[in-house]
Amino acid sequence: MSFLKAKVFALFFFSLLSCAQDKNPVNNNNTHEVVVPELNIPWGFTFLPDGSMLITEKAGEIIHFKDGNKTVLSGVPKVYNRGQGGLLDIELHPNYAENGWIYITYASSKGEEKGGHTALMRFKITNNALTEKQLLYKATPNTTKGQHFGSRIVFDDHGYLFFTIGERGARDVNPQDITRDGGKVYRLNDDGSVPDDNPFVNEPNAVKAIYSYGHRNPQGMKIHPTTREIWTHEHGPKGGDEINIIKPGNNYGWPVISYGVNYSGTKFTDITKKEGMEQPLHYWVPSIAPSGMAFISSHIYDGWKGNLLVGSLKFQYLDNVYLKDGKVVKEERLLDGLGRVRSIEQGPDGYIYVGIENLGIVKLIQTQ
Amino acid sequence: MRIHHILFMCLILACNSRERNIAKLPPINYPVEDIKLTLSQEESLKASMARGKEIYNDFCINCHMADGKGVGRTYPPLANSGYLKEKQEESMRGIKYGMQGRIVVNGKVYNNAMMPMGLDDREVADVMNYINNSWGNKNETLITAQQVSKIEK
Repeated sequence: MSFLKAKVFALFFFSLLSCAQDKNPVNNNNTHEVVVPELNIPWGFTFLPDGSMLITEKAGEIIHFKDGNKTVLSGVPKVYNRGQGGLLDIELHPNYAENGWIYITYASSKGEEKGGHTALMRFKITNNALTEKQLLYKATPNTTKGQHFGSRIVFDDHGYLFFTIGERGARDVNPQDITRDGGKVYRLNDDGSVPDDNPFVNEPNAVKAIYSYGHRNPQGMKIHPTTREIWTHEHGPKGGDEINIIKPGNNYGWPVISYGVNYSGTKFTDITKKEGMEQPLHYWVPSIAPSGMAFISSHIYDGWKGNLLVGSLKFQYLDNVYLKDGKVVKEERLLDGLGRVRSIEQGPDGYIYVGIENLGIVKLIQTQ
Repeated sequence: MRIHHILFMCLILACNSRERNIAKLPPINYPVEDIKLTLSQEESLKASMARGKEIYNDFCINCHMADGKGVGRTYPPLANSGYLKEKQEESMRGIKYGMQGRIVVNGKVYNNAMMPMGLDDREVADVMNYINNSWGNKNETLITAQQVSKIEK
């Protein structure tokens, strides 16, 4: 008996130890099927109307995956491959079937200063090549810092384009200053022009494309399937990753308020709340390093409909987030240990597809 | 040529801990220039490490962490890392061109991708000098940009 007690105690003790890292329990009722094999860093992907996929590799390739074959497109703009910079997200115009526009974000060194900053481009595809390329936005000034380029792209129901840019390693300079790029969510018309009713169009010297500010590095953004609100998540430093719902003109507080500390453990702020700054809907301590985001709106996954999925780069799992009345009530690990989860999309067939580094794109399958 | 080799070895030894080793050095009359070289090599390493620390804090710290211990099963440690100690060339190649696939560090398997950081040769040398000599690691052989430039994919 006492041996059993000791064993139980030991198990309990070890479970406490493992809690110190990340307390989300593993859900084993799921498996995967590799759909696109042999990818290095599938930063983003999207589905074309014929069911084929366009995939961005961070190093600077766009891959068209159709009927089991990969075709690398030509004419991709030169990307600034430094640190977290490279080719980032890819998204279709809501009326892609009619107009053929495809949008990408990427780190670009265009401009006079050394270094790079995030850019938004649209193009069409003709004979496996990018054509009619239009640079719609290029953040300035360039910097050789390796951090925080963002970036995700979404369209809302009104046809506005939203994209994110991280604060480029200038924590105390960019995110709280609306006259500077970086640490922002941006809103543009589909042709790159600034909508007349953007929140800061009448502010002198403001960057007019800014929609919200006070962000660190958002690498997840999706429209909620029922409320139609814009949801983002962003990386904190050591602790303090956040989920936010984006509203025009809002200040999300980085780095004035945060639930994180410096990587070294020292503090950069003493406060987590301040008037005029938004509280996150949810935050993670320790950081999971979130990348990629999708809501499950299909009926394929029993009990998971309405859940939010967030990739964890740091702990290598797909975070299955249960929501109730707009709050996070439970989280669990799916695809645990498969690799660094970079990108997530719900496919036209209702299945969830997950881009995993050093592996490929896999289909999430629920088992019972 | 030979005398140069011997001098070079002495210099490396001297770098270990200047005061202590200089006291122990055999009574050879070094030309003044060589003493200067000793100092400048140690200073070069220090300066390179200081630059390397900035690179580390910009490019590496979010995965390998401030204490160099990495994270669980995802990011291997640099502190006390047998891999870093024994595989200097592979480490430099990894920083220069990125790494992917299975590696074993201190008996533990890691199977991931580290993105190419886009650092120039001097930056790779600087960050190598920094990680080689932080968190209890010690390897006072100064790595130079020229060495890094010769490493091919």
